[in-house]
Amino acid sequence: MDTPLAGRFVNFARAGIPFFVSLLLVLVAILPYGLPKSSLAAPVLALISVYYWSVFRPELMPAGAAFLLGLMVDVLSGGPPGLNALVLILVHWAASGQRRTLAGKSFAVGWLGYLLIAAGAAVVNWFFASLFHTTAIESVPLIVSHAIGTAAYPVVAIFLSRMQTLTRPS
Amino acid sequence: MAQRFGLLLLMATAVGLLILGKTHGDAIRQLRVMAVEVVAPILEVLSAPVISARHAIAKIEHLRNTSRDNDALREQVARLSKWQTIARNLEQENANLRALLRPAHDAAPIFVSARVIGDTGGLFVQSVLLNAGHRDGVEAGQAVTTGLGLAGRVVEVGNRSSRLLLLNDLNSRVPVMVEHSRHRAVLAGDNSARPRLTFLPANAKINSGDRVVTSGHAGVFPPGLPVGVVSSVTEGGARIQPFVDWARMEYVTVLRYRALPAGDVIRHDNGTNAGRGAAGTKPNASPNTTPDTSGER
Repeated sequence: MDTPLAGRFVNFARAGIPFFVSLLLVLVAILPYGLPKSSLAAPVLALISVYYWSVFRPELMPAGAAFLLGLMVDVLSGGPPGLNALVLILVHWAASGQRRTLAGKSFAVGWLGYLLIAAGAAVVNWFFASLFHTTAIESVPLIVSHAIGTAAYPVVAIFLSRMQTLTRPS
Repeated sequence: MAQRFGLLLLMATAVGLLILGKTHGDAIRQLRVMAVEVVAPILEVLSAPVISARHAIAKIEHLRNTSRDNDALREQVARLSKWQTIARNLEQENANLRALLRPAHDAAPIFVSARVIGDTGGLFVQSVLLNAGHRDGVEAGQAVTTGLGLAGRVVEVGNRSSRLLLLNDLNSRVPVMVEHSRHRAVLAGDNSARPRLTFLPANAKINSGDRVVTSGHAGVFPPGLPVGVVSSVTEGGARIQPFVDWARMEYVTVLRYRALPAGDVIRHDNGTNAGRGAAGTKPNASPNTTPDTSGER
């Protein structure tokens, strides 16, 4: 039934799934749930999302998309502008660079990869935030958010893998 | 090759934004307000079912605890009715004494109610987004309270949305005083749950459990708003447990109180107040809190 044009449109929409799903995750994460630490959800979900797509479908999560997502997180949080953008570009670079090691292996390998790359992201985050505020920032929230992210990774990754099946041409 | 170049370009842009944020903070803030304005309606729609769900859960909790709450409330009513008698007497006495002294009245704050539509914050910032802005009379610098106490102040305002910087944010500085000793201090957030009392006079005696209220200095916050209680006193200083329940902030009250002309007076005034407080060898000699000085006329 697909006319070439409609087919092209569907493919285009499919290619947009990783970015728009990530964007939606960030927006949904900042809703006022009234739960403790729920303000950490948006940067954590953006991080997991960029990592996941950079490993499994890097062509659908280019550096520019990671940059825009980070910028969105920065705008919403009111924090140092460009900080999350920088962190997510680096995550994209590290994750897509290591995709041969990470993709297609067991789930645990992907999880371990997240643990390591997110830890690096936390260090970069802390360094630039401290530089921006010209004071050594309290590092506890970063450690907490890294722990939350690592714990949440399996659930989010399963959700994203469902989304990933939608990106494949049927 | 081109990919590597693109990556470097994006990184340079991000770093450039960080530098701009540091050197041209106001321009960046303006851009951010504009971006938030675009997202705010989406957040408002998305947050409505979240709020409904929270209400439903709260209702179930209420129903489960009805009988226990009833007992507690009955006990509280008995206790408070005693207080009511005392308060009535004091109110009358206060009115009589005020009539004798004829002090200038503090400007009564007008308020705007707003809903929290985004629990944004993140790692290093403690802020939330509100669904009220310029069109509702919200201005930067205004104090925001919940039923329980001061929550923070408005820092960025768009037409229909605004950002509330919470008391525990790294950039939050609020002129306060210890309620019963009248010692002035500045409440400084440091991203921890309990902000620090800074610039307390060296001879100030404070104890755990002392109530802390806004002092009204800097002219942006009305004096006497409840802030929190002193939770710990150490060599390094004291920490405050705010009255506000961060997890349950749904609706807040923005106080449209302004004793000084608009502008970025907050930081400037904090500085001078703090300086006076720190250098004050006789901080309690002149009771120059706002209502008292006006009473001297």
